[in-house]
Amino acid sequence: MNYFKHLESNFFTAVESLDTLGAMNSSPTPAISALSLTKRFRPELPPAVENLSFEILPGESVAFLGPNGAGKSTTIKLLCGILVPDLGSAAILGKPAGTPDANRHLGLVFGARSQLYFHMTVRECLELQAETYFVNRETAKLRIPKLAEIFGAGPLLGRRVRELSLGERMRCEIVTSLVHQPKVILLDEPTIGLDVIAKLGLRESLRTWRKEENTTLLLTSHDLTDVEALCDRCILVNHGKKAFDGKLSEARRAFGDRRKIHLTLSEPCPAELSLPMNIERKNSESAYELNLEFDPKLIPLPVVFDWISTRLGTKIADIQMGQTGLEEAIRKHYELGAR
Amino acid sequence: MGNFSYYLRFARFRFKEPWTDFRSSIPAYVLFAFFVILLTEVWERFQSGTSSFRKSEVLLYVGVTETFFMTFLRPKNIQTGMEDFAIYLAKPRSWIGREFFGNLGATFGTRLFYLATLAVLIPVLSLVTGPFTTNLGGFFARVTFLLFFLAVPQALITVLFSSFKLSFPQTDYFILPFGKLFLSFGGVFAPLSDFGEPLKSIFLKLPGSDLFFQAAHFAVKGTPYGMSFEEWFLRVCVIDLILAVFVLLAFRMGKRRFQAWGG
Repeated sequence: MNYFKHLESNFFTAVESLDTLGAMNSSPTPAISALSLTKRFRPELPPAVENLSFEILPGESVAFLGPNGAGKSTTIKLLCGILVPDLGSAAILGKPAGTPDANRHLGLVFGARSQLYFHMTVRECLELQAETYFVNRETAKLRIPKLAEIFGAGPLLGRRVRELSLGERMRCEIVTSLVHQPKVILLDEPTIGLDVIAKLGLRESLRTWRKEENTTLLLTSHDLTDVEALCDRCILVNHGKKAFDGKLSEARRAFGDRRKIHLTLSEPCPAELSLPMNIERKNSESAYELNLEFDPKLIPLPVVFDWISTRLGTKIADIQMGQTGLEEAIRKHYELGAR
Repeated sequence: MGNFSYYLRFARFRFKEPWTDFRSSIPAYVLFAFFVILLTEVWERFQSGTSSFRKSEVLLYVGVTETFFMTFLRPKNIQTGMEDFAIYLAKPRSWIGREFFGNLGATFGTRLFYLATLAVLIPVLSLVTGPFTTNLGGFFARVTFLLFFLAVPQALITVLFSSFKLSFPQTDYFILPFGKLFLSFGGVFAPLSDFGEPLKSIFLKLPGSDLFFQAAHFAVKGTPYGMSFEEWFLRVCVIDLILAVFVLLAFRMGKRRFQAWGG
């Protein structure tokens, strides 16, 4: 009897597996997939990455976030074959990570590591990079000016890399990583050290490129304005484990979708102000300003406005309202995780 | 074939390196000229005219060996190789191939520059040494051949040290004494043939002798010292082969360690 029960159970498991296989075949091959990735550098230390699994579909733009030492860079290195996992596996477009087949489809940008040669002109560097990825010379000659145009690097092509500013060099770095039209780009802190204008320009160019090429993008950055400008989804890691995987808007909600109210007053605000429960007073620059923060799920907006108008009504000179940014939300999440 | 043309292109790429920033290299070339004159004078004083080399020959000898000295095991090349290692694991090309050809190009380019400096210096130096007895055309032809031929072991040694550095960061402390001893025992400062026994016999057996002394002797005198050209050629090829095996072993060890421990 037991034997038949075992047989029956095996049969249903097999049918389920076939169903899963069918479903997998009908869905597109993920651009990036990580399955139970685990990497430990020293036996006495906790793993840098532990049982990390995720899939990124072609055309998706995903931020890979986490505090320092969370395992972001280790994961990126595992995905491009620089490191080998102790357990689990990773694939790029279905090809095992680290193999030449997978690497041909990868574009890499490391903000802290240049891929350009300082003694050569930008054009020479780009041509060499194209050849590194087996792009023939004719194709490269056509592609380089087009790409340089998108990233505003056209006038830089004839200049030596050592003569470029950091912002100009980063634009060229990104063009270098795209010259072979990779289907997947891994960007590790691409805007590190750039000023606001250079960052904006770079993000805009990357957005244009993505729209045209439908490239999959995996971005790690400590600058969450990069993330908000370029990504739709985020994967949050902490202590080597996945802490969140979902849309950016969901991340904001999950980690505290709070509202901020900034009041400018005609008289100094009392130092001691009795606030209703669930409204926090935040630091302000002068006594004539009052900053409040609250979670609309915990205290309804009319209640907040009612309190403001009752307590401060005639003293209000100006009022501004906003939402806490992703950066703040994630910082809070890290802080909670650290406790 | 496609691979070979790519690596050759990379060699050309690195070859251009010393030629694109001539101004910052001027002090090195001035120093080179100074060392050539200084070492020639010092050796002449030591030997008091008993050397198997005439003064003008010592000068050419020192010119060749100083060229090797100034370009041997440059820390910058070793560091660049090590830094590029990780990123080349994520690219569809071989790191060893790229580093080997890159160093080949860089070594050849830099040595050609020193040689050009020597060529420019010769009319000035002839005022000090008197007329050159060596056929200068033949000398420069032989040196040009050496630049190609000896760039191979030089490139292999650089890749070897870059690979070692992946496994042992302390390699840095070893490079300087190794380089200087290897060069000194190889007769960089003076011809080994002028050394007294037993040092002469010992040093002549070491690989440094084949890579520096014999090479410079061949350039100046037209033939290696105490052996035929073919024998010396074969000895250098064997050194290349041994170095290549060591490079592969060190690379594998470095890669294993790097991928396990994250560099």
